Amino acid sequence: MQRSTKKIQYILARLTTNHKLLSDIQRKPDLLNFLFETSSYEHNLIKEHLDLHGHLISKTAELFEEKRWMDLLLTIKHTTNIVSQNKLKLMWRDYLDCYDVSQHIPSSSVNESIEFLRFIIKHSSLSKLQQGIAEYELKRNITLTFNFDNQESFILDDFESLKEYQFYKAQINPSFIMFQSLDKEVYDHVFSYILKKDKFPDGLIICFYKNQHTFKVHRIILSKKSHEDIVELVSEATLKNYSYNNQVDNNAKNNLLINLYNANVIFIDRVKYDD
Amino acid sequence: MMINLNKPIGVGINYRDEFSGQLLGNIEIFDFIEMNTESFHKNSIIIDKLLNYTDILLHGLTLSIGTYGEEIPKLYLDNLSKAIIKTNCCWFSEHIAITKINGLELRALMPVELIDYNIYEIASKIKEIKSLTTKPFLLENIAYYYPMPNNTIPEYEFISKIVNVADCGLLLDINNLYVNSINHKYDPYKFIDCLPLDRVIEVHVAGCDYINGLMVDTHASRVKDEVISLFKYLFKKTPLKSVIIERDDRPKDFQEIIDEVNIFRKIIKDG
Repeated sequence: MQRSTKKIQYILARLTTNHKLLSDIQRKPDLLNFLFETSSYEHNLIKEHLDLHGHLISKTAELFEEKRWMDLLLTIKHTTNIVSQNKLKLMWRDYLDCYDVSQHIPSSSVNESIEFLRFIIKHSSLSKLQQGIAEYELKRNITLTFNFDNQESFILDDFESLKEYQFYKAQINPSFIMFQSLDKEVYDHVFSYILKKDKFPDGLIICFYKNQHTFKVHRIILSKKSHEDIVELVSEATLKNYSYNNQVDNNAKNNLLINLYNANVIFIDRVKYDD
Repeated sequence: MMINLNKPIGVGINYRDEFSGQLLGNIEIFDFIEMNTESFHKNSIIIDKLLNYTDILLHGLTLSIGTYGEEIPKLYLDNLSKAIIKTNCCWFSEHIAITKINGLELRALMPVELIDYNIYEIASKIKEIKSLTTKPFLLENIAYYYPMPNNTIPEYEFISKIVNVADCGLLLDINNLYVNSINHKYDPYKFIDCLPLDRVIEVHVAGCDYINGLMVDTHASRVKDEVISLFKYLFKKTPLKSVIIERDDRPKDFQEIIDEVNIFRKIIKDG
């Protein structure tokens, strides 16, 4: 009985979260055995239940799908500003139609946005600009899903100790992700309409990273030089080796480290020396 | 009834990022703010601000207490303990629902089979949760749009038995009760009469709307008069500790929320 109950719960969960699967099974109940390896008891129970309450389960599945759509819209605000909602809704229908019935739905609206954005970038007739903005939002949302569970980082509680440069090294926040658009139209749109900058030089690099304490995504805009500095900083085995182009004193070096650390762009770890 | 809370009854609202600014700007009108248990860590700065002005209640969405044969994940229990300590909540609550099973996250609440052995399965999970803390735990009834197969006992009896066996409180969502009574055609007043009302600590009220022929718990409109009437009926029968207005979207005018708070304050004041 126990296994049967869980199996029935699972089948109903799958049917209410996938309207296409529900419709397929209502048309061809034999799919129950094929997809879920049901016993004859389970098969008959579900089939009878669908005969009696299928219309309600179907409406529930539609409600759940609509909720997923509304939740999705909240996670793709920049894309919705540049692609009409009607067009996006058609893409959403295509996305649902293409969704493999043997798959679970994405576990969160952000994960759904990642799958949906990948789908529309690959399969839909978006303009270059629309595609670029969808890619921008995709990178941001990928950053949001970064999981710090297996990342240990040294929590610095005494900035003075940083001056002992040989004992510490910097590592970039592991969620760090860069968005480099080669297309000028996309670059101009991002700076003018998303970042709301009046004036901006060419060649800036937009990066996303997640704060490991608040789990919020932050954005940093780097010049090519700043980016090279950070790359140099984290590539050194210890902070002592980091030269900062040999042009600054230790105070300036310390301030830079502290600023990047406070902004969560870098983590600072203790160097492990072998005995 | 084992839950003894020395708190006067109050009116509050659920926390949503969508209207956090307006909420903080009008914080003095709320006695409670109900926060999502799972995302408390994302709102730690907001929580610190809120704790200066009001009491926090924790409300979980993802426990999936009704999933048969699955233990409560240790990570969930650890996070719950942290949330309780961080917020010093008055009490915390969860739904009688399935939200995940075999790795599938439903992102919605699915009903549980109303059968005898589910009562003991769910009560046993509640006892495990209760062992984490001295804070009271409340269980909430959900809105559901189709029945589960194998149901053998009425919902009010199912709920009553669970809270009695587990010795926990009840969060009665009156809007869910109203929605279910419309969709499944029963008398919500009789339903209330059959519950162990001395266990009702908190009430949820919200807006609901017809969608595609179903009355749906939308949390996106004003509380219906019928739900207010049910609240009045319940309040005459049992002392409560809190009324939480649930709102998920940003109202066009926050005054709409303030007006609703005042409606419930007046009912409470008039007794």
